[in-house]
Parts: sequence; structure tokens; C-alpha cells
Amino acid sequence: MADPIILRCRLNGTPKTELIAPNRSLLDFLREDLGYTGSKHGCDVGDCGACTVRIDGAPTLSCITLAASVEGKSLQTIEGVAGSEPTLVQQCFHEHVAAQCGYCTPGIVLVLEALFEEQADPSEEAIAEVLGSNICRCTGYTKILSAAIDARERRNGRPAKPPTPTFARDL
Amino acid sequence: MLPLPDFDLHRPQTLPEALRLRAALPKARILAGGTDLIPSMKQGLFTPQDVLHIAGLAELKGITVNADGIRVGALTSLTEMRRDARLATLVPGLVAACKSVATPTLQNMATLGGNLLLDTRCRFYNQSQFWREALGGANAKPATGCLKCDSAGICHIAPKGKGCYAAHSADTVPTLILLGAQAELASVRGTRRLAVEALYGEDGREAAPDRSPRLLIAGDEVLVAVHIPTPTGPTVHRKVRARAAIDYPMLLVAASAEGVVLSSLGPRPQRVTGIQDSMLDADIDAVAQAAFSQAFPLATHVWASTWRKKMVRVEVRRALAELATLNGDPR
Ligand SMILES: Cc1cc2nc3c(=O)[nH]c(=O)nc-3n(C[C@H](O)[C@H](O)[C@H](O)COP(=O)(O)OP(=O)(O)OC[C@H]3O[C@@H](n4cnc5c(N)ncnc54)[C@H](O)[C@@H]3O)c2cc1C
Ligand code: SF4
Ligand code: FES
Ligand code: FES
Repeated sequence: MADPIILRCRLNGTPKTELIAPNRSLLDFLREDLGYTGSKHGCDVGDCGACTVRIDGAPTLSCITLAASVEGKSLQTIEGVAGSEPTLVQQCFHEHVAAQCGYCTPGIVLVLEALFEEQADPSEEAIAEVLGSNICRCTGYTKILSAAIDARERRNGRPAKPPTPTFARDL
Repeated sequence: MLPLPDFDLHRPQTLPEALRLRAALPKARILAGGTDLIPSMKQGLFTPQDVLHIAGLAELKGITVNADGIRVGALTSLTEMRRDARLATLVPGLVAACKSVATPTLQNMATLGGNLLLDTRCRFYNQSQFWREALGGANAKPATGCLKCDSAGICHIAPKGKGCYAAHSADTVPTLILLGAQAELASVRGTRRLAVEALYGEDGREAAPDRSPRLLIAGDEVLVAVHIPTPTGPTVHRKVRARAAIDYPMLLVAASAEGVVLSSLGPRPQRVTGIQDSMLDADIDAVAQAAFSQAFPLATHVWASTWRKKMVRVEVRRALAELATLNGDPR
């Protein structure tokens, strides 16, 4: 076994100093070593986006990132997104029922939060493009897209675009 | 969980230090953004004892533009390239190629250098160890897959052949070739420049007995930067893939006045030959037909190679029509 190395970083605003193996993936470090299970373990090889975290603000796939490579950086996981209240993106996901099994949701919320920090009023194409980073097997993306568009409208002071009634809701 | 092999991690902070380590550890793998290397290590394709993590090298970062052209450091991420206003004006076709790589999240991690040196891909190779063991290889014991993984294995695409035909899959490369880009390579022995077009050999493997290997760079060299001469006209990048996101290409076509480059058909990109005119004057159907007759895709992708071959003609036509429009010629 290679010698362990010391990792110093900030996780959701809190400084962390941990001993890690050089070959530890960031996802396994977060989930197995620190118990932050909000980042999901999907494909494990960079295809699906379930493991997305933000490193210095940029959405990154933690399954194909070495924990050692976040030395000195700031990490944000889904656990660090909401304050005492859910964010607008989270609120819209809730109202639009944009999570079904929920496995893809943490990653998708993080890429949308990052997009809205970068572009106040992104086009529908720009939203769809970042959603291409994350695979959702349940929703068919319709509700995710409508939640994201609603969040965009509301954060820009425009009227809400409430969810369109669905069969399930009408029952 | 796919475990990573056990390795020592080296994190040089300056280029000279990195070059010394590179020379001292010839079997080490270089880790840049990791979006190619880490999945491959998780799939057991590489089990290096040493990994050289070069992300700390300031010399390999950033984009500069001057009278001679553009220099993009090898560690520049594709997202940085997409956001650079100067690149958007000077080389919009290259920016479009960056944008078509994988997904926005992967573009945050992916470096230009890693894209140039991306491993060749094949449906029998880019699979988990479990998958490859289940497939077996006629001679390999224990069966680990095909010839590219194991010199005792066989190629499942061309079982009687002696080569590997895994496909070059780097989106930015066909465009960089047309732009006349050069790779700046450094080692303890010094620095040299090599045309991007001359980086790639005939075989899909890192070492092949009778054919040139997939990369024609020395084992102790590190890619420092890519130099692009100031472009004289537009380039067009076209990509065929199953989904509009995530997927690697099953065919790439780049076009400019200088010519047409095809890729993802075999281990290296290829120029369409035999066209005398500038692509702005050439007959689109004649170029498309020439490209079709020079393309020999093998079954390296899940999609039928006969269909990929037909798409060469279609995509070359589309690329040249797009190029004509960009040049103000509404053909
Ligand atoms: C799901 C998925 C989809 C993808 N789709 C695409 C796609 O559509 N198109 C595409 O082109 N790519 C695709 N990629 C691959 C990849 O994201 C890009 O090619 C990326 O640019 C590779 O850069 P990197 O820094 O991550 O490379 P790394 O994995 O760090 O390195 C790649 C190779 O280059 C070597 N290397 C890297 N930098 C240097 C250097 N400076 N000097 C010497 N050697 C070096 C490494 O040793 C390694 O062998 C995809 C990846 C994933 C996971
Ligand atoms: S072309 Fe043949 S040897 Fe090369 S990766 Fe595919 S199956 Fe393996
Ligand atoms: S688990 Fe990381 S991309 Fe799928
Ligand atoms: S809600 Fe189940 S994968 Fe997206």
C-alpha cells in the first residue's frame, strides 16, 4: 500500500484535514470516509453525473476525481446547498415533482445552482445543455426542465411558471 | 465500486521537476484532468505504480494570443476555452469542437492536452475488467480481453489481423490539424514542436510490433502547449454520436478551405486526399464521394460500420455546405 497523504480542503464551508490513500476517489472519500452520502454512486466511470460535486464552484464528477486533487480547494456537496430554507431551485424541484427516485437529483441541483450563479437568465438551450451532464432514468427530463425554467423566471422577478397538471395530480 | 489500482502519487509544482520525474519514472502515467485516465484505471486497463499529477504546473496553463497566433497551455480546460472571448472570435470552429466534448461538467475537468493524447477507443476495450474477462481472449490466460489490453490476446474486430484498429476519438484534433496547430513537447532533453497531424501512428496500441504506435511522442515527453497560427478562414466541426450529450464520436468531420479531415474511423485522423481545388471551389459531391471511398470504418463502435461509412458522405456534404455559408457562398 502506498503511504497515506494529508488532505486539507474546505467542505461546505468547514475546514477539513484528513488522512487519505493516494488512490482514494473523491466520491469514496465523501461517502465512505466522511459519511456525506448525498453524492450518489452511479456508473463510477464518469458517464452519469450522479456523483457531481462543486470544486471551487465548478461542477465536477467526484467518481473520477482523486480526493488528493482537491488539496486546498473548496468543495460543495448537495448537503451544503440549502441554508435554513431550501434554495429556489430546490423549492421548484419540490413544486414540480421533478424528483422521482431522486438518485440523479443532487447532481442536477448542483449543476443548475452553478449555472444560475454564472448566468442570471440562461436560455432554455443553455439549461438543457447543462442537464446533458446528468442522466435521469425516471423523469424523461420534462419536469426537471420545467422546474429549472420556473426557477429562472422567479429568480429574475418574473411570474412563476407553475407545473402543468399531470395525470397523477388530477387523480 | 470499481477500485483504483494502488499507486504512489507525485505532484510536481514546476515543469523542470515534472520532467525529471517523467524521466526517472518511465512507466508512470500522467494525470491531467483525469477524465480519460481515471475511468481506464478503474476498468483495470492501466495499473501504474506511479501517477504523475501535473495539475499544479503553472507553465501549462492559460491562453495567450499575439501576432504569431494562439498558445493554449496543455492544462487549459475545455470550459476555459469555451469562455475565452478571443478564441470565440479567432477560432469559433475550435470552440464548437470543445463544446461537443462529453458534457459541460466533463468540460470543466477535461484539458486540451488530455484531449490531444486521449487513448484510442473500441467497444471491446473500454469495458470493465469483469466484462472483458467474460469476453475472454482466445489465447490470453487469464483472459483479460483483446490485443490492446494484452499482447497474448486477439483482436475481436479483425481476429486474423495483427493490428489494433481502436478509434481516435478526440473532438478537437481534426480542427487543430486543419488549423496547422503544433504540439510543444518538453523533456529533460529539451523542447521541440511537432505538427498535431504528426502526433499519431498507425496502430491503436501504445506499442505495436510491426506498426507505428498510437502516439509518436517519446516516453519522457510532456505536452506543454498547443500553438495555433493565426487562422485565415473558418473551420467547421461535425460530429456523429448517438445522443447529443456525453457520447464519444462515432465519426468526426472537420472542414476548412485547406481540406477535409475525417476521424473516429481508425487509430488516427485522416485527410481526404486527391482534391486539387480549395474546398471553397471544389465540387461538394466530388469531395464527399472521395471521402466515402477513402473511409474504412471497422466494427469498433456499437453502430454498424456500413452505416458509419455512409454517414461520411452525408457529413462531408453538410460540413462543406456549412463552410460555404460561413464564407458567404450560399450553395
Ligand atoms: C463520459 C465521457 C465522455 C467523453 N466524451 C468525449 C467526447 O465526446 N470527445 C472527446 O474528445 N473526449 C471525450 N471524453 C474524454 C475526455 O473528457 C477528453 O478527451 C479530455 O479532454 C481528456 O483530457 P483530460 O485532461 O481529462 O485527460 P487525462 O485523462 O488526464 O489524460 C488523457 C491521456 O493523456 C495523457 N496526458 C494528459 N495530459 C498530458 C500532458 N500534458 N503531457 C503528456 N501526457 C498527458 C495522460 O497520461 C492520459 O494518457 C469523454 C470522457 C468521459 C468520461
Ligand atoms: S480494435 Fe481489436 S485490439 Fe483494438 S481495442 Fe478493438 S478489439 Fe481490441
Ligand atoms: S458515478 Fe460519477 S459520473 Fe456516474
Ligand atoms: S429521478 Fe430517478 S434518476 Fe432522475
